[in-house]
Amino acid sequence: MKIFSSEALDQIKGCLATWKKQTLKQNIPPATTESGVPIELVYTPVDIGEMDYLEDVGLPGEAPFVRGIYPNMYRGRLFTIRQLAGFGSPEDCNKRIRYLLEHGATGVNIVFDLPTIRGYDSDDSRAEGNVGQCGVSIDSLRDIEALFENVPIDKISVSLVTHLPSVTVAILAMYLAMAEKRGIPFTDLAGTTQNDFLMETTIGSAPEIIPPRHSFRLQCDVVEFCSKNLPRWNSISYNGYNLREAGTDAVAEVAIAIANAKATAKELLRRGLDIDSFAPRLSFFWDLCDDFFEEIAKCRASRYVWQKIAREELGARNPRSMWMRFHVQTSGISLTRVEPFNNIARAAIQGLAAVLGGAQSLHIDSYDEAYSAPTEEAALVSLRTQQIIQVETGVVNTVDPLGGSYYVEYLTRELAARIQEYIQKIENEGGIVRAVETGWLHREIADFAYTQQRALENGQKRKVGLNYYPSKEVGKTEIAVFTYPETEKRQKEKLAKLKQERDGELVKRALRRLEEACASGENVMPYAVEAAKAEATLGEITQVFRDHFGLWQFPLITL
Amino acid sequence: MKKIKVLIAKLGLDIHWRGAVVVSRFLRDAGMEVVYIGNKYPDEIVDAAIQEGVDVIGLSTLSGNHLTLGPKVVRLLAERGIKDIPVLIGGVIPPADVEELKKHGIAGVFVPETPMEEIIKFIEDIVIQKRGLPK
Amino acid sequence: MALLNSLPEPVSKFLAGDIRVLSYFLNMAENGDERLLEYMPYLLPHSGRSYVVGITGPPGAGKSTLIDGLAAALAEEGKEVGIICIDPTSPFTGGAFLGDRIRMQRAAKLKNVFIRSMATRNSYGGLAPGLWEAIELLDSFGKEVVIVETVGVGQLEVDIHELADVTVVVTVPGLGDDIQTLKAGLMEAADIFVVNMADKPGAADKIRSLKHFLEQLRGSRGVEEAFVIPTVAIENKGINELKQVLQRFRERLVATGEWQQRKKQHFRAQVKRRVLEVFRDYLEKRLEEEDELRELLGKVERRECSVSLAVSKIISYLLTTLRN
Repeated sequence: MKIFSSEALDQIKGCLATWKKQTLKQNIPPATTESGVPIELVYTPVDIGEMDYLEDVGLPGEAPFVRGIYPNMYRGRLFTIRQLAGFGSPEDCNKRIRYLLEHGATGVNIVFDLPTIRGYDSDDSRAEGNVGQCGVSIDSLRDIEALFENVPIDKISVSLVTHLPSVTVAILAMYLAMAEKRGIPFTDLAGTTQNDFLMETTIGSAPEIIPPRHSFRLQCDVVEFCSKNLPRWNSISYNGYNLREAGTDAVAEVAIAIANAKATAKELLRRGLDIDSFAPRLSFFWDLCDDFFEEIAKCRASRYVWQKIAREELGARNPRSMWMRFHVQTSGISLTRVEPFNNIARAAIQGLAAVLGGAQSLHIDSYDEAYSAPTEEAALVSLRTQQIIQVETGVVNTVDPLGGSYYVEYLTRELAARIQEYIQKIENEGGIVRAVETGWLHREIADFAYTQQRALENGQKRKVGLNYYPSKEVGKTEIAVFTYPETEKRQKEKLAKLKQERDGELVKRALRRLEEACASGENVMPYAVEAAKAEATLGEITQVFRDHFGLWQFPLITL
Repeated sequence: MKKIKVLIAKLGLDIHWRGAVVVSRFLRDAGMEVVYIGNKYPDEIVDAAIQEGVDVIGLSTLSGNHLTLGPKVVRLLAERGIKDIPVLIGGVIPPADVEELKKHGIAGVFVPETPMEEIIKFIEDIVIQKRGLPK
Repeated sequence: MALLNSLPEPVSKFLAGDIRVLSYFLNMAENGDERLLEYMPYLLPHSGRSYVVGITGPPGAGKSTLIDGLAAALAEEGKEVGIICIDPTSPFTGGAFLGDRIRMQRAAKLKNVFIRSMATRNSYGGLAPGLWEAIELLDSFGKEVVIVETVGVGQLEVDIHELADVTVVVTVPGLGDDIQTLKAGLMEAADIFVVNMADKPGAADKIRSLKHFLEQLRGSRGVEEAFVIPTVAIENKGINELKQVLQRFRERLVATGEWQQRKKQHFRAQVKRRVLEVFRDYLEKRLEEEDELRELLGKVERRECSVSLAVSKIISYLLTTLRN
């Protein structure tokens, strides 16, 4: 049932025509959202005349979930303030985790250094120059234990930003080995691992990459294992954020992530699992960029598209399988290096949009993001920004406050349609794994990044302080930057000690069994946990994957 | 003027390729010949630069390894007796490190938001200078 | 042969294996630097031994990956290998993406492999400027095998035939480049066909039809064997077979005396091509600058003079001016 009567709509249409002629009396140059949706000067009920409130928008907590996945949203549970923490050695990082928890953070979001992210130990020659930079260095079970010393992992939600499935297997295995040692049942563990094969093969380049289909297999192994053993664990966080930052628009960001989710679900169904046994734990991770209303509509549209796919294509019956739960991070690439305090405003506005969009948890970028990992002071400002939104602005007091806005509803529907179209495009390329293997996805991203840069260079895309009232001041603001030069040395010493003290034979056996699982197609997780318990290092575990699956040539993306 | 040939590499494990790829395309648009070699370490970078006979080496990094690996490229070039291939670094470089890099012989540092034109002009100027041509 | 200590310094360094000098000379070749002419006489006596392998084919066939495997296989048996990869220069920007090296991850790590990327720089005849000299340089540097990878679009593949001792055409199943559609010249110039991605559907058919075509062609030329090799370059399959076939082919060339024949043909073709290029540039310039010739062209455009008459007038004019 449409919400506006045909008579009302006709009347408004008539008035609009008159208004254009008599009141407006001018031609307004066209505008578009950042992804290219044309924007009218003013939106009226006519633009959403076809909308059926209950079918297309609904009530929060019910299909199609556009207004929110929970009926009470933030009145029931505030969004989690989940700020990133991660730098230096596990001991350094442990201090920051406890600092954030003491100051009100309700979850932790651990980022790892590059060698860890790509599966290399700190004593690997490839790790040179990167140990402890931009994230915490983890080489073994001992490091995971040091990272979470005196942190009640059974009471908080822990997000491990393990981009790659191959590394997720190793790090999650270590985390589980730690829980076992502490006597904490897996069923008590709450958290997330990113585990996105697009991170392994598309969004990041590297000297050594395993083939997409094998990375995808490991991704599914983790989801399967968690669905059976860790009921409170989000085994995957489909990463739209990094896709967006690498070079997509709002539509492609969501479409690609959802296409990956669809493919994961189909694979697990093929393995004989019931959709409702794992879908509730699939989570998503969106970026929040410049276009305020587009980003809000994107959040709403993403909920709509996912529930439709879950219900109609994947056969989900449990509403929880249809929920699109997402974490949001405000956009790093939208921040500027010049006049860094402007970034506080940018991130606050973006954070607000995330809340208006119904995010389950939020990370607000710090103003010094363009330089390095945040200083304590900058991290605090971000934390406080979230708290201000939560307790001062009142926006959390009603669900989906922008519901009913003619513009936002129109944009939501429009984006939902475009997202579904893009998903179909990916299907036409043979599905997400194939689209990666052929380099199609990489080219889409590279082309978009190039186009965006041109828009910035020619002033079409405006950035305050950059090409709009360009800042003449350089280096006026004093930014403190953290470096952790001692980390590499310390980690190397720890590794040497570990290799001396552990049972080498036990490690070899465990790694061999892991390799056998790779070959046989069995789920690798239990074998990885055994290897972690035997104190196999991160590099040793991931080397099994590199050796067994072989290395893949990153597609040519420069043309 | 003869073609300018540029080697572009991601430094070490650095994963974000957007900047390097976009810069490569803009350099190509400006008439340069770009050899993009992906993620490489200093010794491989120097080998490639010598074999390709490039005019300039461009390194891309956002992960903080610029101070360790950047100067290493300069050092290896010097050890191999190469004096005329300037090394440039682009990416997330804290202001304090810019001077440090230049002290180690890095010829140019480009932080985020440097206009493409500026990078292109810098390369053209440095090559003109190197070739001893009038400006 | 000149004594080592009477050689110019760059030359003795080059002959001693200094890669920097090789690279420097290659730059000179690419840029048409006349100083190279001073050094070439010292280097020529050291050349003539390389096996020049030309590899061409449509884009996306996996040539670079194939070459990576082949070069690695050759290097692993101790051979010195040189690779030249050619990519097109954009006619609009004058710039180029030289994106083959990145695909040669294994070969690039090997000490006895030298890889150089070159752009076509919109030269006539499609290959890269200075390519001939570049091959001679790698040859005299001691590279036993020089692999030349070319652009792989349009007519240009045929030109590699003028430089290579053996021409390998790489194709893939399902690309639509059937016997009928592959350019006639290319089909005939190919000595060896590689069907890469041979694990894809349609591979067997493609191999069969190529073999059949080659047999007919060879029959008419009087040569027996038709070399069509399936490979899956990305999995390093078929590479050893290719290597062995190339070796057999070389042996056959030498045994039949065709090795020398081909080398002679290369020289001729190169000289003719370069001389024609000079004449062509000369003609272009004259047509633009000489009023008399421009007027003549104008008459042709206005149909006041036939093309044939104009041509003989232009030739007389040019010959006269050249004599003076």
